[in-house]
Amino acid sequence: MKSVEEFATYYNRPVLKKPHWVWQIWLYFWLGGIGAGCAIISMLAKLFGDQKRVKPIVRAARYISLATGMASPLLLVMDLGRPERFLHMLRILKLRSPLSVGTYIMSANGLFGNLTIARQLVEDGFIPAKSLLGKAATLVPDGLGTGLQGITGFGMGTYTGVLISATAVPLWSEATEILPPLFLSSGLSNAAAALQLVLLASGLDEDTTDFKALETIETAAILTELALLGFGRWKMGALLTKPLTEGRVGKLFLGGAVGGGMVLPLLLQRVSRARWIRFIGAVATLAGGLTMRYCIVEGGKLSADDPQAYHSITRK
Amino acid sequence: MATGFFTDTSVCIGCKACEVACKQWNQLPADGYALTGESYDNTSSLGATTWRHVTFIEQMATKPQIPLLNLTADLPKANLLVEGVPVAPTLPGQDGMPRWLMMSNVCKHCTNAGCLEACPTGAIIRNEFGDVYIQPDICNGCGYCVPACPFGVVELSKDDGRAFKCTLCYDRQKDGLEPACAKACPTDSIIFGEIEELKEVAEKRVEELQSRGYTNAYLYGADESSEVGQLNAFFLLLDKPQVYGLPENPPLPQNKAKNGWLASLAASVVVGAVVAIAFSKGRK
Amino acid sequence: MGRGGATTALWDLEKADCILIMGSNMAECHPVGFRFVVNAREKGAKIIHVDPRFTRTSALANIYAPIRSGTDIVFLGGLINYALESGKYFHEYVANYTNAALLVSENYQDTEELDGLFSGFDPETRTYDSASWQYQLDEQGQPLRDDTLQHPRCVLQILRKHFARYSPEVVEQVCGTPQAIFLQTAETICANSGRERTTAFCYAVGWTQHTTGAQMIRAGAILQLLLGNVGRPGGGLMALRGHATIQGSTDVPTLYNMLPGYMKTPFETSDPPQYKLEDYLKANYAPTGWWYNLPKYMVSLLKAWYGPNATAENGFCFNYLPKVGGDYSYTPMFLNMKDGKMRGMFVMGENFAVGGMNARLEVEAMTKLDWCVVRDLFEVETAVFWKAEGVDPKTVPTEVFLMPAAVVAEKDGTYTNTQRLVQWHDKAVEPPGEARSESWFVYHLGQRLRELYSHSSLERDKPIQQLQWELPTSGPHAEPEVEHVVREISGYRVADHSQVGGFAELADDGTTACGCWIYSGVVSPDGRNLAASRQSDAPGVDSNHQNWAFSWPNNRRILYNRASADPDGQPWSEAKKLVWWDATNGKWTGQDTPDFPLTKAPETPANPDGKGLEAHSGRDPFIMQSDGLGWLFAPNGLKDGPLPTHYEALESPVENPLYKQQVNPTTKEFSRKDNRRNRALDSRYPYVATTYRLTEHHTSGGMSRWIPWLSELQPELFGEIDPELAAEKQLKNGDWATVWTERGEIELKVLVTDRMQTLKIGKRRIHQIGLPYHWGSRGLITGDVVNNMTPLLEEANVQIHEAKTFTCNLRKGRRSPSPVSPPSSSQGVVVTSGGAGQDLARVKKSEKGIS
Ligand SMILES: Nc1nc2c(c(=O)[nH]1)N[C@H]1C(S)=C(S)[C@@H](COP(=O)(O)OP(=O)(O)OC[C@H]3O[C@@H](n4cnc5c(=O)[nH]c(N)nc54)[C@H](O)[C@@H]3O)O[C@H]1N2
Ligand SMILES: Nc1nc2c(c(=O)[nH]1)N[C@H]1C(S)=C(S)[C@@H](COP(=O)(O)OP(=O)(O)OC[C@H]3O[C@@H](n4cnc5c(=O)[nH]c(N)nc54)[C@H](O)[C@@H]3O)O[C@H]1N2
Ligand code: SF4
Ligand code: SF4
Ligand code: SF4
Ligand code: SF4
Ligand code: SF4
Ligand SMILES: [Mo]
Repeated sequence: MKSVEEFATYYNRPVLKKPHWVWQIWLYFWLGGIGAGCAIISMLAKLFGDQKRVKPIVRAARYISLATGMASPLLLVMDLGRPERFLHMLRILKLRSPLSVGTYIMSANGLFGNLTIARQLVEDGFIPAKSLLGKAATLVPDGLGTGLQGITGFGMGTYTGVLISATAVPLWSEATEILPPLFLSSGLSNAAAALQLVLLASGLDEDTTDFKALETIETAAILTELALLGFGRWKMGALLTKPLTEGRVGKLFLGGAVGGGMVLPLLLQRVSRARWIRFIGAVATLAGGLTMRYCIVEGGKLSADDPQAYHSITRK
Repeated sequence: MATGFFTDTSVCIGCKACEVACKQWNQLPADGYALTGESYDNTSSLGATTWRHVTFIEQMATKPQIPLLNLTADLPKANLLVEGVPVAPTLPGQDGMPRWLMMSNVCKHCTNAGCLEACPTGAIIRNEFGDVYIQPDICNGCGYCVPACPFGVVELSKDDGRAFKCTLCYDRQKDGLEPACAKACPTDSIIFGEIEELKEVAEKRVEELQSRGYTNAYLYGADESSEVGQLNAFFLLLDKPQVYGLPENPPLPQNKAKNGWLASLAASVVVGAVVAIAFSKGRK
Repeated sequence: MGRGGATTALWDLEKADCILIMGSNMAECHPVGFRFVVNAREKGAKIIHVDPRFTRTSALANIYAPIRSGTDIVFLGGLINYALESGKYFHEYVANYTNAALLVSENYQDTEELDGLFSGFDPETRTYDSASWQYQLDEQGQPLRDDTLQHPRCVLQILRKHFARYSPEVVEQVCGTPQAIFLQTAETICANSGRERTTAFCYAVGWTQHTTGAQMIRAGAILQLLLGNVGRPGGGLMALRGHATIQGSTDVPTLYNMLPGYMKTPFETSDPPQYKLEDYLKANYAPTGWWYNLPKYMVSLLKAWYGPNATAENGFCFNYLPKVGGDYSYTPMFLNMKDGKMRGMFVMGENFAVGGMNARLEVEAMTKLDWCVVRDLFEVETAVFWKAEGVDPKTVPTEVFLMPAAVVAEKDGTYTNTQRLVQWHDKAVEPPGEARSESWFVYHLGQRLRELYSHSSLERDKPIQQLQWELPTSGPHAEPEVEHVVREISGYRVADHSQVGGFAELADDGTTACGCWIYSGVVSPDGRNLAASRQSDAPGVDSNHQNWAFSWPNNRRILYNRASADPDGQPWSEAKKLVWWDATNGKWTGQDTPDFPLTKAPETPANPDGKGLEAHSGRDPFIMQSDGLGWLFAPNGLKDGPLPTHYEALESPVENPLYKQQVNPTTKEFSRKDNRRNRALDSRYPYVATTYRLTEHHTSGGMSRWIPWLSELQPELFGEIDPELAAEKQLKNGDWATVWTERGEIELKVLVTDRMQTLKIGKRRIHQIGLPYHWGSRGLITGDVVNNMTPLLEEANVQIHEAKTFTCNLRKGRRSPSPVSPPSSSQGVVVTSGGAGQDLARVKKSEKGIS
């Protein structure tokens, strides 16, 4: 027998419609983040680093962002209901729409990325310097290209956070100030990890490469992430963060993203600096970053389906 | 000047003519054939193929357990139906009386529309009638408008990939016809017209119901000062919005973006500094 | 009151101060008409809904009164009693316009004296002889009257005695309606009737589909007469009809015992057998009142059908009309069919495999036919009877012809709607493929038959040969032009085929032809088809929309509207004026066509030996009746008593608290092995089942279950039960359950809802189970056929069934494969002798201590 009070929701049905987003989106969030991290790292490395010992880092960073930069648009187009219309994204710019703004940031970042990678290909002799293409590739001064890619990299690393928080979904919209920094730091920690992975694999060592810097970056980024998550839990409370603390997604988030992807790498760093340990640590960070993106997207869907959560944030 | 709906739930008989008229006019498919057990509502919510949806809320529990109670004793003496005769405790709809609420829900065509502001392609526009319209030839199915609607109205079509919702019968309005749902409504629970005029009607209506003892009658969505602004489809409700599956205070999601961008900026500076320091340490 | 139609019009409900909706779920079944009820409510009228279930109508009402299905006569009797004893009835109206003052024969005995029977009952034939119900007459043969209304034998006093025991307490005990709510209802209705105010009643099959159905409506009519609400704006009895033109199909009838315009079909069982026109007229003609005109209407009908062949010499071919030799009505038809006494059948627009009582029996009956033609829009359940669940097609000899029918939008024609409004509709599109209209089918079938018999010289083939069966046809399919049928129905002068202006111009000498006298005038003398006119009243004007289509009779919108004026011809009140006497111009005038001789002044005295309406005074509004009065007490016309009295439904878990007589003794039960009855008070069938409709579907679902947009709205068969019963049976909302009777069992999902409530009847708590009956085996959505559980039976007056009340049992879980086999434990009674309910004594012995 239902009492009037029990009708605080309509048969407990969702008030909101959840986004349709599946693997393309969380995979893109992850890769885009890494690409952004690499762009930022290579820029600042060039500016402040020991030029000799950052050269391999910048080089690796450029190849990684080449990969992520190629994958990202593909994933996003795949995700569209009408892929053949992906260019409609560029028919206007709407500053109120993070997705619109983000699309331009991504395009710009990709464009500048092409400049730097082109130059890299010449340097590595994949494109003959004398050739017309080679000449064109080195037209834009190295610093400018790297700079622009780095600056837009900040946008790349943050806009996805703004994008999802500018929705009605309780888990996201209540975390406006948290998600962009979180995504940026995660992108950075993951980029650092990815770079270490590549550089270690190619057998480089401390003398030739500034591994220390990468480790510092990774550690600092992870600590920031943990701080942000803690702050978020405190600010938003149990009801709103339920999707990330309970159920399948919740377990994965706490165990995988936080435990495996943040706490574990930090511990490993303390344990030892043996190559293979550092190797595992990097892999853990990357896996953790991917898991976090997955959990936040899926958690958002759960949150959108929870009328109580939504009513709780829309009460007068 | 905008056109829209005033939906007066106090005269809705739950006949669903609006829901059917909409599907027929717009040639929308059925959503499937399963009994929900949720009163007489078997279509459950608005969506890509349901642009009008009638909700049913049974509130009989307040009904005295007939005939176990001695009703004569329980009559609220105050409320007189006929001179000198107290009201039997079965005045449907009135406070504390058993009631079966029915309400025809639809896209609100918000003045500040989350879906419209979210749309990166500009597919969603405000048309010449002041209504929020999705241009099907532009929409590329990015799906961003979906979580951006504070009322859970717009949805991507599974088979078509594009976003769909009430068009406020743009095609009919262009031909000077009233929307199909309003046309079909036998009790004029759905009234179509100019918002300004509708609001006058609506406010009078509330006063009248109040005076007749429906003290919980009020307008939902008629408040310009709210985040979403005036809803071009606004309602006269008889219970809390949540009861009908509506948010009490719907947000405009894009208002969150500003803080997001600021946080991004701050984060960039901090992170940048950290990275810079990390590398400068590496200098010999 | 004398006419087979609603006395009022839907729009007129808006003028009511109170509307009692009882025996109808108007909001769900007449949603468009219900707008006028809503408007009335918004103007301050009080809406009352009396129903076993809290429905979408109750949701809009001011008062909802729960009631146990089948007990309306107690509720209405209670209201009659209340009106009489509180003196709140409309005395002047009653004294002048009803038979309240007339004295009834000393031989008349009431149910109060005979414990549930009226005088004149013959237990053998289970019929009444109405001799003792007649008036006391003076030497001129005029009824004696006592205008003080005090004489113990006067109708009003008899009424008082008869209903004296129908007190609020009894209402609560029998109907389960809390006294407070009943009193509320009574007060509201009385307070809103009288000179200044009017109350309207709306009913439909929640009243009709009972073994006491006709008497329920009688009770409503009596109450409206007492309150003075008949013939007045915002008053009357709104009979909400069913199918779009179900009214039309009784006016120009599809009934075996009626000819167009409510003239009876000739019976050969009568004595003398009605083979000759004279015999027929003698039997049915009334010297006074409207039926004085019967000969004009009958002869004109025969002229319309047999044309030049109909002459005074051959009695206008009267003898070509088929004669009825017994009960040819719906129910016996199927029993005869099942017993192999019928060879073939046309099914045109009916889906009784779902909509028919004891539907399973009807389906099995069809398998006994040699041939069967089904004309429908879809291959509905009835069309596939030969492969129904449990039927082996190999064993079915029937040759079935399924023919696609044109849907309404694919043909010209008329509707006669619930307010007697004949409305023309144009064809919008050509029917697809082989689909053809009904008129096409019948017309061309007739032509071929005439062709077949053209060479015969046998006397018995004359009816076919001499039939006038020519219509102009048009279009690629030689579609008959039905507008010509409308003209024939409206009536014309044989000499020059000029249209008559109305039935007043019809003659009994063969000079006029008219297909249905009550529709006479639907085509105006200047040839306009008034059914096609579409002019509603301009704002500020009130003429009851007289230029919107045509309402029979003679375009009158509110029947008996003479009663809207006082005896002197002036409106009872300014607020409620409708038709009044204009002394200066010497005629009746107002906002409607007067339902009265136009120039007959109020003071005109009755002429005892005058013919027809001359026998009525200028005060008598009920012109159809021989005495021009509204009948509170009906000396004639009803087969089960001159007054409504409460009997339990044939199947009821409750003992009749008022009389020893448990059920209506005149009910025809057709009780046999394949039509078993749940015994009254049988503890194995403790629940009251009632069946009904949902807005989302139409009757058998023959149309709606094929339409996605409707099917998704109510996709599955369900049963509505109250939480207490659900708890008892451990049923959760949405669970599968099986419901069964002696006829069969069905499975459904339960909708557990507080809208159904447990009723306290005496010491017992009675549960009612609500069953919408729209589902079957075909279409987009399917479900069990509720009517596999209902009994075939006949109410005595109109042969209606009792789908609204029967008993059943309920258990958790799904049914066994066969929907029909009665539970093996079956001990259902097969009454071979004795009367309805006579086995009650036996039951009581065998069933001691019923819970
Ligand atoms: N949407 C829709 N409209 C229809 C139809 C349809 O199938 N669908 N069918 C049309 C047809 S053919 C007809 S005949 C009409 C029928 O119109 P209605 O008679 O209004 O419809 P029903 O649902 O059969 O029955 C009406 C109500 O009677 C109640 N009832 C049952 N037993 C009793 C009783 O003993 N006393 C009282 N007071 N009430 C009782 C039921 O609970 C139900 O709510 O509707 C017509 N209109
Ligand atoms: N238990 C229970 N049983 C009931 C009732 C109840 O209340 N309870 N109500 C009873 C009542 S009131 C009624 S009226 C009956 C209704 O019972 P039915 O009349 O048997 O049911 P319908 O679905 O109305 O059948 C009409 C059929 O005609 C078809 N049709 C529609 N238009 C046309 C046309 O132009 N030409 C032809 N040839 N076919 C056409 C439709 O497709 C449909 O199959 O049910 C009765 N049965
Ligand atoms: S209700 Fe939702 S879909 Fe409709 S206009 Fe507002 S935001 Fe857009
Ligand atoms: S799905 Fe279509 S309408 Fe919605 S935001 Fe994307 S492009 Fe705009
Ligand atoms: S306005 Fe048109 S599209 Fe919108 S709900 Fe009504 S009928 Fe459907
Ligand atoms: S809004 Fe009108 S059409 Fe829709 S369900 Fe209510 S009454 Fe029927
Ligand atoms: S279907 Fe026809 S008859 Fe029934 S409510 Fe609608 S308009 Fe009236
Ligand atoms: Mo009917």
